[in-house]
Amino acid sequence: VNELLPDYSVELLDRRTRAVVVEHLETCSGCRGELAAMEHAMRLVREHAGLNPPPGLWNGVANRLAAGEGAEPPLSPLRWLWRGPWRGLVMGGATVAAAAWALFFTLGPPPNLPPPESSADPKVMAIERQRALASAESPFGDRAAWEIQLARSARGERSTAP
Amino acid sequence: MKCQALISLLTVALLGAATWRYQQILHRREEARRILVRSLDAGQRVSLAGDQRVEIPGAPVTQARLVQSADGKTSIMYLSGPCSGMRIWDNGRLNWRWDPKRQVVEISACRRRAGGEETQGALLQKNFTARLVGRETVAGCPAYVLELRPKEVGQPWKRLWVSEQNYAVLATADFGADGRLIQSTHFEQVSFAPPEATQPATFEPPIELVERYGTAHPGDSVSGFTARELVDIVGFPVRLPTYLPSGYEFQAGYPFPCKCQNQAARLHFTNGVNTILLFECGHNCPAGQHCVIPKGSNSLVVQLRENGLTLAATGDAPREQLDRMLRSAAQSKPVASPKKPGSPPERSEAPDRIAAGR
Repeated sequence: VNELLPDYSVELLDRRTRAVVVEHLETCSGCRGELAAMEHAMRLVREHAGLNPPPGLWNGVANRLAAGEGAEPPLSPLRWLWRGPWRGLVMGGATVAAAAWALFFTLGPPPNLPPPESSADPKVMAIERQRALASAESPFGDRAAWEIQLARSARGERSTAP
Repeated sequence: MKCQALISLLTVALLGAATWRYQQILHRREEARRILVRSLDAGQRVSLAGDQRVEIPGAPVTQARLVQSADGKTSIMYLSGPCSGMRIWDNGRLNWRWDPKRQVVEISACRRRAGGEETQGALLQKNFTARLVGRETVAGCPAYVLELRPKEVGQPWKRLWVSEQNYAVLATADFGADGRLIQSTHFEQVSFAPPEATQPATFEPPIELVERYGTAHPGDSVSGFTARELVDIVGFPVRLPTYLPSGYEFQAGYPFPCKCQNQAARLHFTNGVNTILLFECGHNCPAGQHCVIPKGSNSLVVQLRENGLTLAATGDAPREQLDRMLRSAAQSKPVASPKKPGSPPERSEAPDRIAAGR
């Protein structure tokens, strides 16, 4: 249904598909939110599409692009950063980074770093899912707890499985 | 003479005390074993309903309403916590998992239906020692406190609270090999033989919900095969590990859809309480790109690519043991060669059939 929303918002769907989407929207708050965002964007387009640009603007831009006039020579990234208002920012950023680096090496890493987390890789989740399924229904399997692990892996959340 | 008599008397007394203590230990061990057997048998056939509290370190506490019938059907409704609103229905044939957050009802076949319960029970008694460590009250019911400790050190273990009245499990706690609590569940209130446990509707979801949101998950197959049978199903020579953590045995093999458009093998091993899963893909698929085996290492899934096989293992064993298991699988002899090499079977259509209720 999510993929049909753009067509639905501009009324391009046939009657049957449209009825399916309408029915789904009644129960799915996520899709309703998505549709509202789309309609807002469409409203903005409609509102601002009526504004006319000043006469000659488009021709002027097209002519300058074609002639390549007025284009400044490209700057190296370092020179660009060092220009005008960026200079202060670069200096400030470099100072903060140096202070953070010095602090890190002075204080050392925080004690008891947490173990590496399980990635949200769908393939890892598929494997964790199979493990949870196997454990949930085993003798003395803690079903309610393993079902939580199962839901987490399905949702792509970090598993707390050992 | 007097001194000798005193020493003899003391020795006899000490021997008597030691024998009495030994008998006491034997008696307690025998009692623990008896409770375990009753719990595996009669305890699993108790119909009950109650509110459970699930605690997993690092996650919010969850409360769930559980109903269980005498023949093992189950219904769980999560009342609080991250899974609040989630529902599980298990009618002994199919499982339905309703996740309101994802708006999905996942349908899969019951695993215990595939059998193997007796084997697992026997393995449990072979690999674990039951100890009666006390008596406590859970949800107002007097309960035996049993510990299932592995005979081989360095493996996870379990503590169970078993009802003295009917041997139903009222609480469980899982511990890692280092004694760290992994998860625990206990009833806060429970009633036995409730009327809803006899109604089939308790264990099946509303039909409209399934029709609208039902879906099956590829790879949830419960039809187990021997390693030899699996070779022809997946279309590559499956290898079994020559090393297994102590007490573990091969339970069954299952086809598992790989992203490389072929079937991989999912091999299950158990020691009666804990599970290890081994995944093998022998279709020379690029690891981490198309294969089910994940790219990147983490503490949960150990992986290896060797001899044209892409392997991964996960389960209740230390990382080093899983690693050793994978290496032994990669270097072992294949159990057989497929009958038609180079023509792997099509993807399983079982999930679609399950979703359609066939």
